[in-house]
Amino acid sequence: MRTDLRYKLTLAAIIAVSILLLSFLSLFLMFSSTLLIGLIPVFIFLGAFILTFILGFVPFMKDHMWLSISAAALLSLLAAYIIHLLI
Amino acid sequence: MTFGKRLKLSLLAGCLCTLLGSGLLLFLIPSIRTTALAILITCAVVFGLALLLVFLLEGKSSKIRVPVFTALVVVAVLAVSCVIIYNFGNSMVYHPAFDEEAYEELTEMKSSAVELSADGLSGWRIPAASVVDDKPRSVILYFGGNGENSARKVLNILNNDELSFLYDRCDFIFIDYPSYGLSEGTVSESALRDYALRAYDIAVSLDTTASVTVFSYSLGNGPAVYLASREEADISNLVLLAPYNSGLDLFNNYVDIFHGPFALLASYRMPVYSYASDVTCPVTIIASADDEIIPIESSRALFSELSQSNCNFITVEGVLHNDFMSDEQTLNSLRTAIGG
Repeated sequence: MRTDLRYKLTLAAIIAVSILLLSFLSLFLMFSSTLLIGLIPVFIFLGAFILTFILGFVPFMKDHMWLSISAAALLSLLAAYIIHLLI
Repeated sequence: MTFGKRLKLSLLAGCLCTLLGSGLLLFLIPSIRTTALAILITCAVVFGLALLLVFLLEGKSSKIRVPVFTALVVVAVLAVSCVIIYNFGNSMVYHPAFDEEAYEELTEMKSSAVELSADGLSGWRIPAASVVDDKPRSVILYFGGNGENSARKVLNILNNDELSFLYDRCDFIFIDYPSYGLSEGTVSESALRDYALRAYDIAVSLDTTASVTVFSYSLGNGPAVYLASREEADISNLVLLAPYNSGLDLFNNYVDIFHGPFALLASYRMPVYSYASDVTCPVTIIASADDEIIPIESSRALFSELSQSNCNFITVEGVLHNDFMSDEQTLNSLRTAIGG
């Protein structure tokens, strides 16, 4: 087993965040009145994935992937707030 | 940057954004906020435990590490499931709402209905139509269903001649549950018991109240039977429409798993049966064989707990849970039971 602190933190975070993500997804499906609303997290995932992946081809972003991840995170928060206002 | 690394980072971004976006959405919905917060706390505990285990199992073989981490994940998933089920029950049972449109309409009809407000609770009273203003009269204290609020209910009664027997010779009072309508507080099982006593105090504090008839429907049957079982409450008549024997019956009617230790997962367990033996006033139970929310067996079980000498059980046929107040058989039974 690797002994560095970063590895330990990552391992613990992967377990906790995976459970958190699954819980939020199941909450969405349980409380949503329609399947379309229940699938909002899936749409957010696809949007963020495609955006980050495409930005990875832009020369500047290629070396600053964390910038595009941060941009995607901010956009997802904005999208969530707009969805909240719409539904 | 390699294609593999770009793919990995994009997946990471997708997961992070899903977590942030759906998390924010869940926190913005008031009825789910508590559940989302409880899940967040559970996952923070899981993170702490996982970190502790990583340190404790450092240098141990994978034969030990794999089962321990698997157990942690299973326990964490179970814990989160319990949190979700418990909170989902809450949002299934309680539907607090304030009907602004009905409230404003009633406010304009001042002569027909009077707003009541005391002790953090709020509701409406329809004064008896055929009784002189200050003459003592009986009061019907209504305990509504989980989706009802006083303004809409009172407006519906006033607009429906078929229901005029509810306020013809007696006052009709409906006080909103905590967090419903303009009532303050948070609704819960214990808050409903407390509410029943406070609503009764409001009814008897009126100068014109001579006696109190309690009429309850669906969720309201729990606090209504609790009130009737209390020595300090002098109830002349108890009319239960679609009552249940225990709050657990409501849950088990959806998914039949809330037995034994699993009963603790139900957020509303109101043991109505345990109050029934202390009820001394005459009781009328009206239940439908076709009620899809509260099975008639649950109403019958409650009937068997009540003193049989002054209890009457009326079965109506072909009536769904939300259709009682528009069903002729039910209304005739109610007229007889309430004495309208």
